[in-house]
Amino acid sequence: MSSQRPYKRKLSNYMLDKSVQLRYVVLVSSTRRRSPLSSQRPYKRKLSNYMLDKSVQLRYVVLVSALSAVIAGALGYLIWRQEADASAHVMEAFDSLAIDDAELREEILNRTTSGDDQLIFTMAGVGVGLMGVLFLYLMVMTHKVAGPLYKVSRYFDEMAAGRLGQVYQLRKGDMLRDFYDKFRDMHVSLRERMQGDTDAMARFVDACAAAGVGEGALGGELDQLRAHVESRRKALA
Amino acid sequence: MATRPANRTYKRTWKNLLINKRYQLRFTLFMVGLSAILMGLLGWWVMTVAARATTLAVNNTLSACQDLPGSTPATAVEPEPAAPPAPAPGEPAGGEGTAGEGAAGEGRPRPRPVVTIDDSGMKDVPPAPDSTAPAPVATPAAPPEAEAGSYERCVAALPGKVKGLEARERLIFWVLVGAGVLITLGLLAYGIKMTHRVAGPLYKVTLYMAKLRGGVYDVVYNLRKGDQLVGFYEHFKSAHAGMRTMQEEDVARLRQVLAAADQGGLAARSPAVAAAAEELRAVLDEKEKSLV
Repeated sequence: MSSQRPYKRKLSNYMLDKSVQLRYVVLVSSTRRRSPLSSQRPYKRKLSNYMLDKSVQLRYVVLVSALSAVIAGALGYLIWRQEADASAHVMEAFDSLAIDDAELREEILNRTTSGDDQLIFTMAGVGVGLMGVLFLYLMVMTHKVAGPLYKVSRYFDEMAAGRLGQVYQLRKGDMLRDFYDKFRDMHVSLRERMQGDTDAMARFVDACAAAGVGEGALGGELDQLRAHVESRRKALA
Repeated sequence: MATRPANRTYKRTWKNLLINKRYQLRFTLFMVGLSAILMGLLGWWVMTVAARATTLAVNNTLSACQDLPGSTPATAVEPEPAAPPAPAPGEPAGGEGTAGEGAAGEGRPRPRPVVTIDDSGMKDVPPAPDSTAPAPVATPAAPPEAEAGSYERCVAALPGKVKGLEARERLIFWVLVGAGVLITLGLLAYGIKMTHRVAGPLYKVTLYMAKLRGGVYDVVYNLRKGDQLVGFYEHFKSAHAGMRTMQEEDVARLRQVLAAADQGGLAARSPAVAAAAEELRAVLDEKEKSLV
Protein backbone atom coordinates (compact mmCIF):
# COMPACT_ATOMS: atom_id res chain seq x y z
CA MET A 1 0.00 0.00 0.00
CA SER A 2 1.45 3.33 -1.02
CA SER A 3 2.16 5.77 1.79
CA GLN A 4 1.26 8.64 -0.52
CA ARG A 5 -2.27 7.54 -1.09
CA PRO A 6 -4.62 9.77 0.84
CA TYR A 7 -7.14 7.89 2.88
CA LYS A 8 -10.47 9.60 2.72
CA ARG A 9 -13.15 9.43 5.36
CA LYS A 10 -16.31 7.74 4.20
CA LEU A 11 -19.64 7.61 5.95
CA SER A 12 -19.73 3.85 5.69
CA ASN A 13 -16.46 3.62 7.61
CA TYR A 14 -17.48 5.71 10.56
CA MET A 15 -18.57 2.73 12.68
CA LEU A 16 -15.31 0.83 12.82
CA ASP A 17 -15.70 -0.78 16.22
CA LYS A 18 -19.36 -1.02 16.96
CA SER A 19 -19.11 -2.39 20.48
CA VAL A 20 -16.78 0.36 21.72
CA GLN A 21 -18.35 3.20 19.82
CA LEU A 22 -21.96 2.32 20.57
CA ARG A 23 -21.19 1.77 24.25
CA TYR A 24 -19.63 5.23 24.47
CA VAL A 25 -22.48 6.88 22.59
CA VAL A 26 -25.10 5.25 24.82
CA LEU A 27 -23.13 6.11 27.95
CA VAL A 28 -22.75 9.77 27.00
CA SER A 29 -26.38 10.02 25.94
CA SER A 30 -27.61 8.58 29.20
CA THR A 31 -25.35 10.70 31.41
CA ARG A 32 -26.38 13.85 29.60
CA ARG A 33 -30.01 13.32 30.54
CA ARG A 34 -29.85 15.14 33.82
CA SER A 35 -32.36 16.40 36.24
CA PRO A 36 -33.68 19.94 35.90
CA LEU A 37 -31.99 20.59 39.24
CA SER A 38 -28.59 19.86 37.76
CA SER A 39 -26.18 22.77 37.60
CA GLN A 40 -23.85 21.40 34.97
CA ARG A 41 -25.73 22.45 31.90
CA PRO A 42 -28.67 24.66 31.19
CA TYR A 43 -31.86 22.65 31.10
CA LYS A 44 -33.40 23.21 27.69
CA ARG A 45 -37.05 23.13 26.77
CA LYS A 46 -38.10 20.02 24.88
CA LEU A 47 -41.36 19.40 23.07
CA SER A 48 -41.95 16.23 25.06
CA ASN A 49 -41.69 18.15 28.32
CA TYR A 50 -44.10 20.90 27.47
CA MET A 51 -47.02 19.40 29.35
CA LEU A 52 -45.65 19.49 32.89
CA ASP A 53 -48.79 20.28 34.84
CA LYS A 54 -51.72 18.97 32.87
CA SER A 55 -54.47 20.29 35.11
CA VAL A 56 -53.20 23.87 35.10
CA GLN A 57 -51.94 24.00 31.55
CA LEU A 58 -54.76 22.17 29.81
CA ARG A 59 -57.37 24.11 31.72
CA TYR A 60 -56.11 27.42 30.40
CA VAL A 61 -55.17 26.16 26.93
CA VAL A 62 -58.51 24.47 26.40
CA LEU A 63 -60.44 27.42 27.79
CA VAL A 64 -58.77 30.00 25.55
CA SER A 65 -58.83 27.74 22.50
CA ALA A 66 -62.49 26.87 23.01
CA LEU A 67 -63.38 30.50 23.60
CA SER A 68 -61.61 31.56 20.41
CA ALA A 69 -63.29 28.72 18.53
CA VAL A 70 -66.71 29.79 19.79
CA ILE A 71 -66.14 33.46 18.91
CA ALA A 72 -64.67 32.62 15.51
CA GLY A 73 -67.41 30.04 14.88
CA ALA A 74 -70.27 32.35 15.84
CA LEU A 75 -68.96 35.29 13.86
CA GLY A 76 -67.99 33.02 10.97
CA TYR A 77 -71.55 31.73 10.94
CA LEU A 78 -72.82 35.33 10.85
CA ILE A 79 -70.51 36.11 7.94
CA TRP A 80 -71.68 33.05 6.09
CA ARG A 81 -75.33 33.95 6.77
CA GLN A 82 -74.83 37.45 5.42
CA GLU A 83 -73.06 36.10 2.35
CA ALA A 84 -75.85 33.61 1.81
CA ASP A 85 -78.37 36.43 2.18
CA ALA A 86 -76.47 38.48 -0.39
CA SER A 87 -76.42 35.50 -2.76
CA ALA A 88 -80.14 35.00 -2.23
CA HIS A 89 -80.76 38.67 -3.02
CA VAL A 90 -78.73 38.33 -6.22
CA MET A 91 -80.83 35.37 -7.30
CA GLU A 92 -84.01 37.16 -6.28
CA ALA A 93 -82.99 40.18 -8.34
CA PHE A 94 -82.21 37.96 -11.30
CA ASP A 95 -85.55 36.18 -11.01
CA SER A 96 -87.39 39.47 -10.79
CA LEU A 97 -85.97 40.40 -14.21
CA ALA A 98 -87.81 37.40 -15.68
CA ILE A 99 -84.94 36.53 -17.99
CA ASP A 100 -85.64 33.27 -19.72
CA ASP A 101 -82.12 31.93 -19.65
CA ALA A 102 -81.87 28.81 -17.53
CA GLU A 103 -78.20 28.38 -18.36
CA LEU A 104 -77.35 31.84 -17.13
CA ARG A 105 -79.43 31.34 -14.00
CA GLU A 106 -77.69 28.05 -13.30
CA GLU A 107 -74.34 29.67 -13.81
CA ILE A 108 -75.12 32.52 -11.44
CA LEU A 109 -76.47 30.07 -8.89
CA ASN A 110 -73.37 27.87 -9.16
CA ARG A 111 -71.14 30.88 -8.91
CA THR A 112 -72.80 32.24 -5.79
CA THR A 113 -73.06 28.81 -4.18
CA SER A 114 -69.43 27.98 -4.89
CA GLY A 115 -68.46 31.42 -3.59
CA ASP A 116 -70.32 30.73 -0.36
CA ASP A 117 -68.80 27.26 -0.07
CA GLN A 118 -65.34 28.64 -0.71
CA LEU A 119 -65.91 31.20 2.01
CA ILE A 120 -66.82 28.42 4.45
CA PHE A 121 -63.70 26.45 3.54
CA THR A 122 -61.50 29.53 3.79
CA MET A 123 -62.92 30.45 7.17
CA ALA A 124 -62.67 26.86 8.42
CA GLY A 125 -59.07 26.65 7.23
CA VAL A 126 -58.12 29.94 8.83
CA GLY A 127 -59.97 28.93 12.00
CA VAL A 128 -58.20 25.58 12.26
CA GLY A 129 -54.84 27.23 11.56
CA LEU A 130 -55.53 29.86 14.18
CA MET A 131 -56.48 27.18 16.69
CA GLY A 132 -53.30 25.24 15.96
CA VAL A 133 -51.05 28.27 16.34
CA LEU A 134 -52.94 29.40 19.42
CA PHE A 135 -52.73 25.95 21.00
CA LEU A 136 -48.97 25.78 20.49
CA TYR A 137 -48.44 29.32 21.72
CA LEU A 138 -50.54 28.69 24.82
CA MET A 139 -48.63 25.51 25.53
CA VAL A 140 -45.38 27.46 25.46
CA MET A 141 -46.89 30.25 27.53
CA THR A 142 -48.30 27.97 30.22
CA HIS A 143 -45.10 25.94 30.19
CA LYS A 144 -43.27 29.05 31.33
CA VAL A 145 -45.40 28.95 34.47
CA ALA A 146 -45.54 25.19 34.88
CA GLY A 147 -41.75 24.90 34.43
CA PRO A 148 -40.77 26.89 37.52
CA LEU A 149 -43.50 25.16 39.53
CA TYR A 150 -42.17 21.80 38.43
CA LYS A 151 -38.64 22.79 39.36
CA VAL A 152 -39.72 24.07 42.78
CA SER A 153 -41.71 20.85 43.29
CA ARG A 154 -38.54 18.87 42.68
CA TYR A 155 -36.71 20.97 45.25
CA PHE A 156 -39.59 20.44 47.65
CA ASP A 157 -39.21 16.68 47.16
CA GLU A 158 -35.53 17.02 47.98
CA MET A 159 -36.38 18.97 51.12
CA ALA A 160 -38.96 16.38 52.11
CA ALA A 161 -36.22 13.76 51.91
CA GLY A 162 -34.06 15.92 54.19
CA ARG A 163 -31.72 17.31 51.55
CA LEU A 164 -30.88 20.96 51.19
CA GLY A 165 -28.57 21.12 48.21
CA GLN A 166 -27.86 24.05 45.94
CA VAL A 167 -30.66 25.94 44.20
CA TYR A 168 -30.04 27.09 40.65
CA GLN A 169 -31.46 29.79 38.40
CA LEU A 170 -34.57 29.51 36.31
CA ARG A 171 -34.32 29.23 32.56
CA LYS A 172 -34.49 32.28 30.37
CA GLY A 173 -38.08 33.25 29.66
CA ASP A 174 -39.54 31.49 32.68
CA MET A 175 -42.28 33.27 34.59
CA LEU A 176 -43.03 33.39 38.35
CA ARG A 177 -39.59 34.84 39.01
CA ASP A 178 -40.77 36.68 42.12
CA PHE A 179 -42.06 33.46 43.59
CA TYR A 180 -38.91 31.60 42.66
CA ASP A 181 -36.72 34.29 44.22
CA LYS A 182 -38.65 33.98 47.47
CA PHE A 183 -38.29 30.22 47.38
CA ARG A 184 -34.60 30.57 46.76
CA ASP A 185 -34.17 33.01 49.64
CA MET A 186 -35.99 30.62 51.94
CA HIS A 187 -33.91 27.68 50.76
CA VAL A 188 -30.65 29.57 51.17
CA SER A 189 -31.71 30.70 54.64
CA LEU A 190 -32.61 27.14 55.73
CA ARG A 191 -29.38 25.86 54.31
CA GLU A 192 -27.27 28.47 56.08
CA ARG A 193 -29.05 27.85 59.36
CA MET A 194 -28.55 24.11 59.05
CA GLN A 195 -24.93 24.67 58.16
CA GLY A 196 -24.44 26.84 61.26
CA ASP A 197 -26.20 24.35 63.54
CA THR A 198 -24.20 21.46 62.11
CA ASP A 199 -20.97 23.40 62.63
CA ALA A 200 -21.93 24.08 66.26
CA MET A 201 -22.59 20.36 66.83
CA ALA A 202 -19.31 19.48 65.14
CA ARG A 203 -17.42 21.97 67.35
CA PHE A 204 -18.92 20.35 70.44
CA VAL A 205 -17.93 16.88 69.25
CA ASP A 206 -14.41 18.08 68.44
CA ALA A 207 -14.09 19.85 71.81
CA CYS A 208 -15.15 16.66 73.60
CA ALA A 209 -12.69 14.62 71.55
CA ALA A 210 -9.93 17.11 72.36
CA ALA A 211 -10.81 16.89 76.06
CA GLY A 212 -10.66 13.11 75.92
CA VAL A 213 -14.33 12.56 76.62
CA GLY A 214 -15.60 9.32 75.16
CA GLU A 215 -16.44 6.84 77.83
CA GLY A 216 -19.75 5.62 79.21
CA ALA A 217 -23.19 6.93 78.28
CA LEU A 218 -21.77 10.27 77.21
CA GLY A 219 -19.46 8.51 74.79
CA GLY A 220 -22.44 6.78 73.17
CA GLU A 221 -24.31 10.06 72.87
CA LEU A 222 -21.27 11.69 71.32
CA ASP A 223 -20.98 8.90 68.76
CA GLN A 224 -24.60 9.37 67.84
CA LEU A 225 -24.11 13.13 67.59
CA ARG A 226 -21.10 12.55 65.34
CA ALA A 227 -23.20 10.35 63.05
CA HIS A 228 -25.92 13.01 63.13
CA VAL A 229 -23.42 15.67 62.05
CA GLU A 230 -22.29 13.45 59.20
CA SER A 231 -25.84 12.91 58.00
CA ARG A 232 -26.50 16.67 58.10
CA ARG A 233 -23.35 17.34 56.08
CA LYS A 234 -24.52 14.84 53.49
CA ALA A 235 -27.86 16.60 53.38
CA LEU A 236 -26.10 19.86 52.66
CA ALA A 237 -23.88 18.43 49.92
CA MET B 1 -49.60 32.97 71.00
CA ALA B 2 -53.25 32.00 70.59
CA THR B 3 -53.90 28.58 69.16
CA ARG B 4 -55.71 28.51 65.82
CA PRO B 5 -58.21 25.90 64.73
CA ALA B 6 -56.82 23.28 62.36
CA ASN B 7 -59.75 23.60 59.98
CA ARG B 8 -59.35 27.35 59.65
CA THR B 9 -60.96 28.58 56.41
CA TYR B 10 -59.91 31.63 54.49
CA LYS B 11 -62.64 33.10 52.35
CA ARG B 12 -62.17 34.79 49.01
CA THR B 13 -62.94 38.48 48.82
CA TRP B 14 -63.07 40.69 45.74
CA LYS B 15 -60.39 43.06 47.01
CA ASN B 16 -57.94 40.18 47.26
CA LEU B 17 -58.52 38.83 43.78
CA LEU B 18 -55.43 40.42 42.26
CA ILE B 19 -52.76 38.81 44.41
CA ASN B 20 -50.10 38.36 41.76
CA LYS B 21 -50.71 41.18 39.33
CA ARG B 22 -47.99 40.32 36.86
CA TYR B 23 -49.02 36.71 36.41
CA GLN B 24 -52.77 37.23 36.65
CA LEU B 25 -52.97 40.23 34.35
CA ARG B 26 -50.67 38.65 31.80
CA PHE B 27 -52.85 35.58 31.38
CA THR B 28 -56.15 37.42 31.70
CA LEU B 29 -55.24 40.23 29.34
CA PHE B 30 -53.92 37.76 26.79
CA MET B 31 -57.27 36.00 26.83
CA VAL B 32 -59.24 39.25 26.73
CA GLY B 33 -57.01 40.79 24.07
CA LEU B 34 -57.21 37.74 21.84
CA SER B 35 -60.99 37.68 22.11
CA ALA B 36 -61.17 41.41 21.42
CA ILE B 37 -58.97 41.06 18.33
CA LEU B 38 -61.03 38.14 17.06
CA MET B 39 -64.28 39.97 17.76
CA GLY B 40 -62.97 43.13 16.14
CA LEU B 41 -61.63 41.53 12.96
CA LEU B 42 -64.48 39.13 12.42
CA GLY B 43 -67.00 41.76 13.47
CA TRP B 44 -65.58 44.10 10.84
CA TRP B 45 -65.90 41.30 8.29
CA VAL B 46 -69.48 40.63 9.38
CA MET B 47 -70.34 44.30 9.00
CA THR B 48 -68.73 44.50 5.56
CA VAL B 49 -70.72 41.52 4.32
CA ALA B 50 -73.86 42.76 6.07
CA ALA B 51 -73.50 46.15 4.36
CA ARG B 52 -73.19 44.42 1.01
CA ALA B 53 -76.20 42.23 1.70
CA THR B 54 -78.19 45.27 2.82
CA THR B 55 -77.25 47.21 -0.31
CA LEU B 56 -78.34 44.28 -2.46
CA ALA B 57 -81.57 43.93 -0.50
CA VAL B 58 -82.32 47.66 -0.83
CA ASN B 59 -81.65 47.58 -4.58
CA ASN B 60 -83.79 44.49 -4.86
CA THR B 61 -86.63 46.19 -3.03
CA LEU B 62 -86.38 49.26 -5.24
CA SER B 63 -86.36 47.23 -8.44
CA ALA B 64 -89.30 45.19 -7.21
CA CYS B 65 -91.43 48.36 -7.31
CA GLN B 66 -90.14 49.28 -10.74
CA ASP B 67 -91.35 45.94 -12.05
CA LEU B 68 -94.89 46.67 -10.98
CA PRO B 69 -97.35 47.96 -13.56
CA GLY B 70 -97.78 51.69 -13.30
CA SER B 71 -94.16 52.53 -12.76
CA THR B 72 -92.91 55.46 -14.84
CA PRO B 73 -90.35 54.91 -17.60
CA ALA B 74 -88.06 57.43 -15.98
CA THR B 75 -87.43 54.98 -13.18
CA ALA B 76 -86.60 52.10 -15.46
CA VAL B 77 -83.02 50.95 -15.42
CA GLU B 78 -81.50 50.81 -18.85
CA PRO B 79 -78.38 48.91 -19.78
CA GLU B 80 -75.27 50.98 -19.63
CA PRO B 81 -74.34 51.98 -23.19
CA ALA B 82 -70.85 53.05 -22.23
CA ALA B 83 -67.84 50.96 -23.11
CA PRO B 84 -67.04 48.26 -20.58
CA PRO B 85 -64.22 49.05 -18.17
CA ALA B 86 -60.74 47.96 -19.12
CA PRO B 87 -60.06 44.47 -17.83
CA ALA B 88 -57.61 44.03 -15.04
CA PRO B 89 -54.26 42.43 -15.93
CA GLY B 90 -54.82 38.73 -16.36
CA GLU B 91 -58.55 39.08 -16.47
CA PRO B 92 -60.29 38.06 -19.71
CA ALA B 93 -61.87 40.81 -21.71
CA GLY B 94 -65.48 41.45 -20.97
CA GLY B 95 -64.77 40.23 -17.51
CA GLU B 96 -66.40 42.01 -14.60
CA GLY B 97 -70.00 41.82 -13.96
CA THR B 98 -72.53 40.07 -11.89
CA ALA B 99 -71.83 36.84 -10.15
CA GLY B 100 -71.94 34.08 -12.66
CA GLU B 101 -69.93 35.77 -15.31
CA GLY B 102 -66.33 35.10 -15.98
CA ALA B 103 -66.08 31.44 -15.09
CA ALA B 104 -68.02 30.29 -18.11
CA GLY B 105 -66.54 32.85 -20.45
CA GLU B 106 -63.20 31.16 -20.75
CA GLY B 107 -61.98 31.02 -24.32
CA ARG B 108 -65.04 32.37 -26.08
CA PRO B 109 -66.69 35.73 -25.80
CA ARG B 110 -69.89 35.13 -24.01
CA PRO B 111 -72.88 37.05 -25.37
CA ARG B 112 -73.84 39.53 -22.72
CA PRO B 113 -77.54 39.39 -22.01
CA VAL B 114 -79.26 42.68 -22.53
CA VAL B 115 -82.16 43.25 -20.24
CA THR B 116 -84.70 45.72 -21.43
CA ILE B 117 -87.32 46.75 -19.01
CA ASP B 118 -90.28 47.67 -21.11
CA ASP B 119 -93.34 49.48 -20.04
CA SER B 120 -95.96 47.05 -19.00
CA GLY B 121 -98.65 49.41 -20.23
CA MET B 122 -97.59 48.61 -23.77
CA LYS B 123 -99.37 45.31 -23.57
CA ASP B 124 -102.68 47.09 -23.62
CA VAL B 125 -102.03 49.01 -26.85
CA PRO B 126 -103.80 47.23 -29.72
CA PRO B 127 -101.73 46.45 -32.81
CA ALA B 128 -101.81 49.04 -35.58
CA PRO B 129 -104.25 47.96 -38.30
CA ASP B 130 -102.22 49.43 -41.10
CA SER B 131 -98.57 48.61 -41.20
CA THR B 132 -97.85 51.18 -43.85
CA ALA B 133 -99.25 53.98 -41.82
CA PRO B 134 -96.76 55.97 -39.84
CA ALA B 135 -96.22 54.53 -36.45
CA PRO B 136 -98.08 56.39 -33.78
CA VAL B 137 -96.08 57.97 -31.04
CA ALA B 138 -95.97 55.47 -28.23
CA THR B 139 -97.83 56.96 -25.37
CA PRO B 140 -98.11 54.77 -22.36
CA ALA B 141 -101.61 53.86 -21.69
CA ALA B 142 -102.94 54.80 -18.32
CA PRO B 143 -102.67 51.79 -16.04
CA PRO B 144 -105.73 50.37 -14.49
CA GLU B 145 -106.47 51.85 -11.14
CA ALA B 146 -105.76 48.64 -9.22
CA GLU B 147 -102.32 48.23 -10.81
CA ALA B 148 -101.45 51.87 -10.31
CA GLY B 149 -102.52 51.47 -6.72
CA SER B 150 -100.23 48.52 -6.17
CA TYR B 151 -97.33 50.50 -7.57
CA GLU B 152 -98.13 53.46 -5.34
CA ARG B 153 -98.48 51.20 -2.33
CA CYS B 154 -95.14 49.67 -3.16
CA VAL B 155 -93.51 53.10 -3.51
CA ALA B 156 -95.13 54.26 -0.30
CA ALA B 157 -93.82 51.19 1.51
CA LEU B 158 -90.32 51.64 0.09
CA PRO B 159 -88.91 53.99 2.77
CA GLY B 160 -90.21 51.68 5.48
CA LYS B 161 -88.67 48.62 3.88
CA VAL B 162 -85.36 50.38 3.30
CA LYS B 163 -85.41 51.65 6.87
CA GLY B 164 -86.14 48.13 8.08
CA LEU B 165 -83.16 46.75 6.15
CA GLU B 166 -80.89 49.50 7.44
CA ALA B 167 -82.19 48.96 10.95
CA ARG B 168 -81.35 45.27 10.61
CA GLU B 169 -77.81 46.18 9.67
CA ARG B 170 -77.57 48.57 12.61
CA LEU B 171 -78.97 45.85 14.88
CA ILE B 172 -76.22 43.48 13.76
CA PHE B 173 -73.66 46.16 14.55
CA TRP B 174 -75.03 46.87 18.02
CA VAL B 175 -75.46 43.19 18.82
CA LEU B 176 -71.83 42.66 17.88
CA VAL B 177 -70.69 45.64 19.96
CA GLY B 178 -72.82 44.56 22.92
CA ALA B 179 -71.66 40.94 22.72
CA GLY B 180 -68.05 42.13 22.40
CA VAL B 181 -68.28 44.34 25.47
CA LEU B 182 -70.05 41.63 27.47
CA ILE B 183 -67.53 38.97 26.45
CA THR B 184 -64.63 41.28 27.27
CA LEU B 185 -65.96 42.19 30.71
CA GLY B 186 -67.00 38.61 31.45
CA LEU B 187 -63.62 37.28 30.40
CA LEU B 188 -61.83 39.90 32.46
CA ALA B 189 -63.73 38.90 35.59
CA TYR B 190 -63.49 35.19 34.88
CA GLY B 191 -59.80 35.40 33.96
CA ILE B 192 -58.91 37.18 37.17
CA LYS B 193 -60.94 34.74 39.21
CA MET B 194 -59.46 31.75 37.40
CA THR B 195 -55.88 32.94 37.75
CA HIS B 196 -56.58 33.81 41.38
CA ARG B 197 -57.06 30.10 42.00
CA VAL B 198 -53.46 29.60 40.91
CA ALA B 199 -52.06 32.78 42.45
CA GLY B 200 -53.80 32.07 45.77
CA PRO B 201 -51.90 28.86 46.60
CA LEU B 202 -48.68 30.48 45.43
CA TYR B 203 -49.32 33.40 47.75
CA LYS B 204 -50.04 31.04 50.63
CA VAL B 205 -46.84 29.10 49.96
CA THR B 206 -44.96 32.42 49.82
CA LEU B 207 -46.23 33.31 53.30
CA TYR B 208 -45.14 29.95 54.70
CA MET B 209 -41.78 30.29 53.00
CA ALA B 210 -41.30 33.70 54.63
CA LYS B 211 -41.97 32.07 58.01
CA LEU B 212 -39.51 29.27 57.28
CA ARG B 213 -36.95 31.87 56.29
CA GLY B 214 -37.49 33.54 59.63
CA GLY B 215 -37.01 30.22 61.40
CA VAL B 216 -40.66 29.52 62.20
CA TYR B 217 -41.89 26.00 61.43
CA ASP B 218 -45.59 26.82 61.54
CA VAL B 219 -48.54 24.49 61.07
CA VAL B 220 -49.48 24.24 57.37
CA TYR B 221 -53.18 24.46 56.66
CA ASN B 222 -55.06 23.11 53.67
CA LEU B 223 -55.92 25.08 50.56
CA ARG B 224 -59.32 26.63 50.06
CA LYS B 225 -62.02 24.82 48.15
CA GLY B 226 -61.66 25.40 44.41
CA ASP B 227 -57.98 26.28 44.58
CA GLN B 228 -55.69 24.86 41.94
CA LEU B 229 -52.07 23.66 42.26
CA VAL B 230 -53.21 21.06 44.76
CA GLY B 231 -50.39 18.74 43.73
CA PHE B 232 -47.82 21.49 44.04
CA TYR B 233 -49.14 22.37 47.48
CA GLU B 234 -48.81 18.75 48.55
CA HIS B 235 -45.15 18.87 47.53
CA PHE B 236 -44.74 21.97 49.65
CA LYS B 237 -46.48 20.38 52.63
CA SER B 238 -44.21 17.36 52.47
CA ALA B 239 -41.15 19.63 52.21
CA HIS B 240 -42.34 21.61 55.21
CA ALA B 241 -42.95 18.39 57.13
CA GLY B 242 -39.49 17.15 56.16
CA MET B 243 -37.83 20.31 57.43
CA ARG B 244 -39.87 20.20 60.61
CA THR B 245 -38.91 16.58 61.16
CA MET B 246 -35.24 17.46 60.76
CA GLN B 247 -35.67 20.23 63.28
CA GLU B 248 -37.36 17.84 65.73
CA GLU B 249 -34.60 15.28 65.23
CA ASP B 250 -32.01 17.97 65.99
CA VAL B 251 -33.89 18.98 69.13
CA ALA B 252 -34.13 15.39 70.34
CA ARG B 253 -30.47 14.71 69.65
CA LEU B 254 -29.29 17.92 71.33
CA ARG B 255 -31.47 17.34 74.38
CA GLN B 256 -30.02 13.88 74.86
CA VAL B 257 -26.44 15.01 74.36
CA LEU B 258 -26.78 18.02 76.63
CA ALA B 259 -28.53 15.96 79.29
CA ALA B 260 -25.70 13.42 79.17
CA ALA B 261 -23.14 16.24 79.27
CA ASP B 262 -24.82 17.74 82.33
CA GLN B 263 -24.90 14.38 84.05
CA GLY B 264 -21.23 13.73 83.29
CA GLY B 265 -20.16 17.21 84.47
CA LEU B 266 -18.62 17.85 81.10
CA ALA B 267 -18.45 21.64 81.46
CA ALA B 268 -16.03 21.29 84.37
CA ARG B 269 -13.53 19.29 82.33
CA SER B 270 -12.53 21.92 79.82
CA PRO B 271 -13.43 25.56 79.11
CA ALA B 272 -13.58 24.74 75.37
CA VAL B 273 -16.11 21.98 75.99
CA ALA B 274 -18.08 24.29 78.28
CA ALA B 275 -18.20 27.00 75.58
CA ALA B 276 -19.22 24.47 72.94
CA ALA B 277 -21.93 23.13 75.25
CA GLU B 278 -23.26 26.67 75.81
CA GLU B 279 -23.34 27.26 72.08
CA LEU B 280 -25.22 23.99 71.63
CA ARG B 281 -27.69 25.01 74.32
CA ALA B 282 -28.38 28.27 72.46
CA VAL B 283 -28.95 26.30 69.24
CA LEU B 284 -31.34 24.01 71.11
CA ASP B 285 -33.28 26.97 72.53
CA GLU B 286 -33.63 28.49 69.09
CA LYS B 287 -34.79 25.22 67.57
CA GLU B 288 -37.34 24.65 70.32
CA LYS B 289 -38.76 28.11 69.79
CA SER B 290 -38.98 27.58 66.04
CA LEU B 291 -41.30 24.59 66.47
CA VAL B 292 -44.57 26.42 66.96
